[in-house]
Amino acid sequence: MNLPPPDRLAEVDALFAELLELSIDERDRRLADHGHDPELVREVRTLLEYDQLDDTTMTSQVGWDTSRWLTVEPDDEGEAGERIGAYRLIDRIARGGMGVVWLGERADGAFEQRVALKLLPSGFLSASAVQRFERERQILAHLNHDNIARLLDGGVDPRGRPFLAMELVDGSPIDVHCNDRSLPIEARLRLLISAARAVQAAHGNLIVHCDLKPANILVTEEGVVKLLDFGVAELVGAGEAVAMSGEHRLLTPQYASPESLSGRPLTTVSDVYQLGLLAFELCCGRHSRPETGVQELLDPSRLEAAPTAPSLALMAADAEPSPVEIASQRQTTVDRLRRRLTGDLDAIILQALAVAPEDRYRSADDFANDLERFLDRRPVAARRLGWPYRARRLVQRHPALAVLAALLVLAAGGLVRQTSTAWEQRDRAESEAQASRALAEKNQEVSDFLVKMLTDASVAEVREDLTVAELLDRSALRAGTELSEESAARSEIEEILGRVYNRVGRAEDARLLLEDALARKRAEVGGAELADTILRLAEVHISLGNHQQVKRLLHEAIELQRGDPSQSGETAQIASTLSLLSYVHGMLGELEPMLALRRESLAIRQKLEAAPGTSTAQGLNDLCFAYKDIGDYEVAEDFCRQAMGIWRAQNNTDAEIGTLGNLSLVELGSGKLDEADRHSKETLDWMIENLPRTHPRAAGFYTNRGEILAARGAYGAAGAAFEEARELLALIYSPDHRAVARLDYLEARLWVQSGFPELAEPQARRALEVLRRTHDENQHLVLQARIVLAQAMVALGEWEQAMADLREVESRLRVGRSDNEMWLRRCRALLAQTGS
Amino acid sequence: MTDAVEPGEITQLLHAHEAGSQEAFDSLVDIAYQQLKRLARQQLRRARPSATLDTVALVHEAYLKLFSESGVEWENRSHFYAVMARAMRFVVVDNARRNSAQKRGDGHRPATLDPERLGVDRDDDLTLAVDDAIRQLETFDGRLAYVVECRFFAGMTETEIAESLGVTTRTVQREWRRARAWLHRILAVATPVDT
Repeated sequence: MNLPPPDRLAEVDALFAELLELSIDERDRRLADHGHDPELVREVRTLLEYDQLDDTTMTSQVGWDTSRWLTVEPDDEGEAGERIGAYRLIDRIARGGMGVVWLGERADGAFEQRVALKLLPSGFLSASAVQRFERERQILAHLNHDNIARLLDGGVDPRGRPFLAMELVDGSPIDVHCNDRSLPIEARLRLLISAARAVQAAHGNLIVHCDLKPANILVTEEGVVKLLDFGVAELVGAGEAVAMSGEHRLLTPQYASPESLSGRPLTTVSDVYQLGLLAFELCCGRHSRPETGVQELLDPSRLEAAPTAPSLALMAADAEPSPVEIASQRQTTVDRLRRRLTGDLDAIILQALAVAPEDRYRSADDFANDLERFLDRRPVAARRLGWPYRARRLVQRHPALAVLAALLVLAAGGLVRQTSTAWEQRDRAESEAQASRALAEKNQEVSDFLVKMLTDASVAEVREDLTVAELLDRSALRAGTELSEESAARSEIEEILGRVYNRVGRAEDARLLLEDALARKRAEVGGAELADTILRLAEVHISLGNHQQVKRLLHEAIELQRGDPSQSGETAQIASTLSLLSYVHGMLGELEPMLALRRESLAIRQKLEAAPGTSTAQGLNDLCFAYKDIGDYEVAEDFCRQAMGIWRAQNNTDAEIGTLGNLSLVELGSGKLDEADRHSKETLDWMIENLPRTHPRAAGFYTNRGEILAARGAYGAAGAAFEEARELLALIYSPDHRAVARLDYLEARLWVQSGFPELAEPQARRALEVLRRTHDENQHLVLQARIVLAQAMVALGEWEQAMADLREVESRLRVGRSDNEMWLRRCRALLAQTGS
Repeated sequence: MTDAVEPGEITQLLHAHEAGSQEAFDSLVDIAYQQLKRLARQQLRRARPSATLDTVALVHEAYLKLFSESGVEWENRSHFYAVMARAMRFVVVDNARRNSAQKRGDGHRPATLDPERLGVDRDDDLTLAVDDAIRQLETFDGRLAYVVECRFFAGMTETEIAESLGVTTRTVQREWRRARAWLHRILAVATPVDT
């Protein structure tokens, strides 16, 4: 920013000179008097900020190093041998922004004690501020924590120099300590956790630090963290209640929180931000905001951009030190370090660094807890709440909103891949633009309504625990009130909303909307177009468990499609209806018709495509699943690989990965655990890299991974994967959706395997309740869940009930699936156990 | 101005300056300037190539040469400081200008001054930037400009500046605090010249 015109400089200087003599709140009041002259206020504020900078910081801010040209004033900074309070100065340790630090010792002979004595320039405190300084000092003296250097004494010497005597800490700044010892990430995080806990303890005493930076966080030779200068910011601020007031003071700009740069109130979460900066630096070896300088001082809005993820900052081109050096300082390779940072650590650090204080961890403890979860390889909270760096705009910030956006696009016929790209975009506008492009093929009124709905939803007050369903209700209500009965768009919007309701587990609501739409369509159209709506309603009845109704609807749809005069022969729509019908047979445990329909569907798909393409690959993928369900893993694997070959030839990685996930389940079934492990890991890695966190597919990836980990006996990791899947499913589905029930079943099985039958039992019951409603009693998932429940009951000593259940299950386990044999054996072994 | 300056001439100029003559002040500065340049050259010749130009020592030496040794009586040391600060500023700025021109001209680094202290590319630019900044300070507060000049170019302490102004050290400290913020505010918008 340029200087104001020459004729204004004297005016600025006069006010600046006046304010220098005032206490900080008096300054704010005086500045407020000049509110009508923003240029004047801004200039004076800038000068006041410069006034607070030490030479080193000034150099980095201004870009010119003037300090070494200047002769240091000896008299105000103390001299060796001089006595200050009860202490004698021995040696100068440091010269900082706010004064000089001396090594001192007790001079009154009371006892032997060495201290760090901070000497501030005389005249630093106005007369009125001295009292408050004294009061604050006494509060600080009570702050007693092993990781905080204690304030021992303080006062104002006869020459008017305020001084603070603090516990002398023999250690090095945390960054130096870590780098000198080439500490790996884990050890660095432990030090950080220790620092965060100390910060929390101080917060508990209503003391904020406001100037956390490596120079203030020392680590001793024994590896003990000691925080320096706690509360000193407030003390030298003449005891302003930093946390409460709107005080505006700049400490170390590179480590200043956005609120301190823009003059908003500093709170305990400002310290959380600074811990985040520290974590960033210790983990990836770079500063999160290396560029913070005079430009940011003058224009804090520059900081509004969310910071780069540490894993990306690490790889910054041409930066010093190189990624290789940084990695070796952490005793690892660049690739390993990057992978270690990607995901959880990125999310944790970026949550601490959220620009808006309310988006950060609420406390230093929360931050420390998440770091501990990371070290324990448990799911971290930061990822559950959504990744802040994806959350710059509201659609991205609120997972439910993002899910809703994607579901709408999906329901309206958009492409999955388009959606995920849109999701990845940092910009909501872009995401909306993509959504409207996907909707463009629809009636203009329809797309307008849906886009408006998303926009309104994102503008509306959005709570953290808001679910997609609630957002949807708001929109559905609007659809009902804003669209007239006669509107051509009405049935289409009902259809779209109905699909989304069904997805989020509100099948009853979906049914009402879709029946309404269907009645309208029956009066207006026929053929394939009518079949489409029937299919939507059939999907809803699948969720409701009305299997006979589903079959009826699907057969009607197929008839309509085959009899459509505008279509000749078999169509892709017919193929997908057949696939859906086959899926229903699968849920009912009717394996033969399931297989036959999928083969029929595949044949149509192959005939329609000159060369094997997307439709054929989908058909193959469906068959792979069917054979997996039957337990014929060899055939299933063959179909999987055929499908993958087609995807690969098309360069459709997205779909290829999906099929690879299926393959891993097939391999799990056939006992090829190593392959299953490798392939499921590959799919998960790809997903984390390429899909947004809240993508509907993500839950499936985590579930697969968990199943395979459980089979390998990695119960802890499997549990973590399931937990991750559960968080995502909870965003999309109601708790009584069949997808959640399947997860309940898998978790119950995991609890049984890992020896917690008391946890397994209620969960298995929950799973069964839902599965019995949506699936046939003879369906394998239902039977497997019952066996798991029986296992839990046996372990809990409920023999009789378990035995009765098992006999019933045994009678239902019929041949048809080859792995039914395995379940039958398990069932009989349990029976033998209970019988004895 | 020749090398040989009559002590009587200096005494006369001092009186005129004390009486408020700007012309006399300028002449005194010129005398001091010539003297300082000569001393600086000697200092650097005497020293090894890596030596630094010690402004404090220079000023001190110049004081001895010009005044004590020449028998001029200083009634008020303040005049001496004001003169020396200005003269020293001229020497340093001159040197920086020459270095800058030379660097831009033939691409060679100047061999005159120590790289450690002055040879960093920025330092010549910094000198010129501070020189400019002082001129800007002068437009609204001559005292601030003077304090910067004394501290930056003559390496004077706050006590010495206070003495030269006839005010308390505390006052100088307050003014320096203000000057320091201003100086950096002005420097912040001065782009370092690329070399």
